[in-house]
Amino acid sequence: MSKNLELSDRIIRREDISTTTIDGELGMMSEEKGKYYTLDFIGTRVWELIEQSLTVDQLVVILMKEYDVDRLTCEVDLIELLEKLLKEELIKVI
Amino acid sequence: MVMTHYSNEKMNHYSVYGINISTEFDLNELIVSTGKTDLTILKAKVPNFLTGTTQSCAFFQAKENEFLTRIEHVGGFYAIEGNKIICEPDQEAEYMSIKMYLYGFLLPVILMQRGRFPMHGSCIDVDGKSIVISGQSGVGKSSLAIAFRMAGYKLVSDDLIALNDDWHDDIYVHYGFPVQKITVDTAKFLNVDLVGLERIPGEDKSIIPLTTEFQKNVIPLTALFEIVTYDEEEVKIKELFGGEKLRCIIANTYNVEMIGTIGLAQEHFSYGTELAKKIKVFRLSRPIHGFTLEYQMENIIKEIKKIDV
Repeated sequence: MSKNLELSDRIIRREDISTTTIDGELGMMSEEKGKYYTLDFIGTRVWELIEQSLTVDQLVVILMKEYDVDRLTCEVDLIELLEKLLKEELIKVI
Repeated sequence: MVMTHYSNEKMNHYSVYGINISTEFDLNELIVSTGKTDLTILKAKVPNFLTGTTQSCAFFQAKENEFLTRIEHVGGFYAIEGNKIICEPDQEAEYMSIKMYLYGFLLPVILMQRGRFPMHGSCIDVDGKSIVISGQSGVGKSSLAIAFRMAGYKLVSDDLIALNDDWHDDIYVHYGFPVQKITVDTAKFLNVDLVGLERIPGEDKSIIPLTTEFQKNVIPLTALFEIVTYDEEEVKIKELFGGEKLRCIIANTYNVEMIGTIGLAQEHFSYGTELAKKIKVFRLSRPIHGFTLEYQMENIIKEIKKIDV
C-alpha cells in the first residue's frame, strides 16, 4: 500500500466517489470513509483525465502540453498528488 | 382512522429553527408559538438498544431515521424520523442538563433526520441581510457576535443556525433561541456584567436573554464569514471560491464529525454543495493579539453593502 508510485504505474479514479464542481474546482466525498476532499484547478484536471486509465507518464506528458511547467516539477507535483489520492483510496493502481 | 389521545398532561407549544414543537416539558427558553406540530417531545421509556443499527459508537446508536443515546446522570434520548423525541430522564438529573442535551444534541439530530444540516456559529441581521459568523472554537466568533449585538444589530440565532427547507426562491435562517451564550473570558473582554444571569451547568458559560435584540422575522442569508487568526497586524477579508469555499461550508457544519457516523454523509455533501452555490463565503483573518472587533465589524459591513439581494 505504501509503495511509491512510478511513472509506469497505470491509474484510474474510483467510480464510487461522489463529486461536485464549484467555480471550476472539484469537491469529492468518500462515503465509505465519510470524508470530504477538495482539489485545486490542476488537481481537478487530473481527476478529469483519469476517468480512463492512464500511466503516470502519460499524465505528465498531457499536463506538460496544457500547462507551462517543466518535466521535473510536473512529475514531482503529480506524484505527490496521486500518492495522496491513493492513500485516501480515491484512485487505484491497475 | 387513527385517534391519538394524550393524557391530561398540559402540552406546551414552541417554535425554534422553523420547527413547531409540542411537548409536556417546560422549555421556557423557547419562543411560544402555535403552528401545526412538526415535532413532539415526550417523556417515556426509551429502548436499551436499537436492533439492526447501521452505525454505533460509544455513546450513541443510529440507523436510518432513528437515533438513540444515553447520557450518564442525565437520561436516555431517542429521536425518530425527524418528528419525535422520547426522553427518559434519570432520577438525579438536573432539569437544565436535560434541556441542554435536548437543545444542543437532539434538536440538531432531528434537523439532520429532516435533511437539514445546520451551520455552527452565530447569525446576525446586518441591515436586512443575515450573515453567519463561523470559525473554530476560541477564534472569537462569539465575541464578534456579541459586539454586533451591542452595536445594535439583531441576533437571529446563536451557536446553531438552521436554514429553511425549500431554497427555490430564497434562502434564509430560521430564528433560534432568544439568548446569547457568553463565557467568563468574553464577558471580561467586552465588559459585560454577568450578575444575575443563568449559568449553564458544567460549562463556563452564562445565558444572556434577548427580547428586542432578537430578530424573529425572515431575513435572507447572504454570506458566511469564517474567522481565523493570523500573525499580521491588520484585519483582512478575502472571498473564497471553489474547493476552499466548499471546505469552509462543510467544516462549519454543526457537529460535522457526527454526520458520517449517523450515515448521512452523502446527503450532507449535496447540501453543502447547493449551499455553496447560493451564498458568498469570506475568510476574515484577524490579528491574534489586540482589540480589533470594531475593524472586523467594519470589514464585514463593507462586504455586505456590496452584495445585492
